[in-house]
Amino acid sequence: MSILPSLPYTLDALAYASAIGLLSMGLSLTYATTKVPNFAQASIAMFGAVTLLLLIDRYYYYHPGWSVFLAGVVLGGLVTGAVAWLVYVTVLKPLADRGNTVIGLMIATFALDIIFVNVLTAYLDEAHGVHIPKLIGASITSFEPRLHIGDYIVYGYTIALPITAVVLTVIFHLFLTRTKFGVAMRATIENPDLASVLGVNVNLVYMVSWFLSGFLAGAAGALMAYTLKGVDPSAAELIIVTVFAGSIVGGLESVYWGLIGGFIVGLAEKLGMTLLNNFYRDYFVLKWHAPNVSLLNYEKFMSLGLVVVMLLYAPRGLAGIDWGAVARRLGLRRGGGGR
Amino acid sequence: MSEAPMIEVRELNAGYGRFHILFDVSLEVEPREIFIIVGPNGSGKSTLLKTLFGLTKVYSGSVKLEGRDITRIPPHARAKLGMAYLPQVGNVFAELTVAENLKMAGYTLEASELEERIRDVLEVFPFLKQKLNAKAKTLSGGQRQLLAMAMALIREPKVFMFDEPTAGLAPKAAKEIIDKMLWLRKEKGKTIVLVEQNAKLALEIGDRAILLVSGRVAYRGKASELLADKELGKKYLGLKG
Ligand SMILES: Nc1ncnc2c1ncn2[C@@H]1O[C@H](COP(=O)(O)OP(=O)(O)OP(=O)(O)O)[C@@H](O)[C@H]1O
Ligand SMILES: [Mg+2]
Repeated sequence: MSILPSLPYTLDALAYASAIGLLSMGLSLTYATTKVPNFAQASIAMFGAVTLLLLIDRYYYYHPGWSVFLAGVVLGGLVTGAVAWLVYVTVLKPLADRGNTVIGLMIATFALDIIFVNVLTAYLDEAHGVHIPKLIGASITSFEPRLHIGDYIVYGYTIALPITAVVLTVIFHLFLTRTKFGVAMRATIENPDLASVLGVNVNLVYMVSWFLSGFLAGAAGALMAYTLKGVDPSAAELIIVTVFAGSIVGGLESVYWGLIGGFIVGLAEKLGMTLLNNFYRDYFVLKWHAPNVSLLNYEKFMSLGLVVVMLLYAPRGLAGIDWGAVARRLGLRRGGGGR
Repeated sequence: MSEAPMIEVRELNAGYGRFHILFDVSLEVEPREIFIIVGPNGSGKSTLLKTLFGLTKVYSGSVKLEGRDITRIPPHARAKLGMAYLPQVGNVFAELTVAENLKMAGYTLEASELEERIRDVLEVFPFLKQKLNAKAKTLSGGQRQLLAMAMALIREPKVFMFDEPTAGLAPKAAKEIIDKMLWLRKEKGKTIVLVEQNAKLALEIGDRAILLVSGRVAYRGKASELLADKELGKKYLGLKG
């Protein structure tokens, strides 16, 4: 048996990593602006997944097609963006105005997480014949456009998710660098007092950052429903661990590094763990008769392991590393070796 | 009747959360004057300027701009009313380019107007032209201070509040800044509130002044008289007799 995972599995891992990247990017954004560690990020994303489910049930059930991905990203993003915006305006801002610290706000997001998971679960349970009459339960397997490449079936979402991540990142980057409001958002992240005395409505920047974070989460959440083979809101409780790991590896306050951190952590969970599992199977189980257990159940070991390594060796995350110095050091080492 | 004071502060008590810093501060800044705030380190000079701009917590008292009560309005709205503030620390965005900093400084302006003002300000500070695409953090301390000054000028506000604008500058650059202020008042009819570490320099160019000591007004009156007051000068401002 080969240690390397199969092509469809690799593509699925890339798709999963892209989704985690988008979620971590959103998480880092609202942390950078409002300093709230949002533990409800993954359950907020489930609004995107439920939006996709309703879309399929109402429309794509009869008209299957590739546009389901675009519709899922846009509608799931908008709905979820609105939810995140509401969370900030109705819960977090009033709490912050009353002088709550980061701990209080964090606990509020824990509470929201529990509420969202339960409300969405109740909604879907109610759904047998009520909210989603056509689909069986909340399963969307077999409602995904696919390609046949050689012997492989390539599921549409494994293409759509990485493309979505790239497109949304490019749009977001252009927004941050080319628009006045985007520059104001970066300015506010760095120094909200200075931004406000120059005329920037900092509160509006905060509200928009929550909407954008929600949009990224909802877009990812909608397509992520495919990698999870169905819509189960309680899956958020596992995903949030990975999303936080991604943000922390990225450095928590940088949106771009958040994306990269999330991607790396997502990939490590799926591909890294599979490599480790296959290695264990081929060498320890077959050669040494070690107990035949699947390491795949221990994905979080990878993400949390990365967090531990990061906190030990680069506590400010990938964003805090002086990459210029690293490059110089590597260059010097090469030069030194030649001497 | 004479026109309303540009800034009128009445019985102001303010601070940071539970840290009460300013006690019963009252002052009036007339249009087109240079108003000086001096005092020992930690006496609350910066806090007073921040309070005028809505960045601290006001417990009681009021702040008026041209007769209009602005005590409870947010900072960005004060900017739109024609106030500008150059903070003592963190007065440029280090992670943004010089061009982006200037754009932010003119955030309340229309795009066409902003471009024109940026062009004007680049004439005044020509060294910035070569640095437009450099991040502000790559500038030297003096250059940053001049960028901050340029940012304060861009909007052409009615009233400028400068917090130690000459700190860390070489004497020549410091003089340039001071000349700029005199020019703003004389040629442009602007009002200036100036906090200065160098009390002598400030009191020489100022019209009226207050001396803050431990968050209270210890002197209020003509700048020249405060400069001449040997006792206060020696005790609080490190001026030689
Ligand atoms: N953000 C803050 N939170 C709590 N206390 C603060 C804060 N900023 C300043 N202070 C305190 O308020 C008091 C006044 O500080 P302020 O900076 O206004 O003094 P200053 O007169 O400007 O001093 P300097 O001459 O050093 O600039 C000081 O005791 C300071 O420690
Ligand atoms: Mg000060």
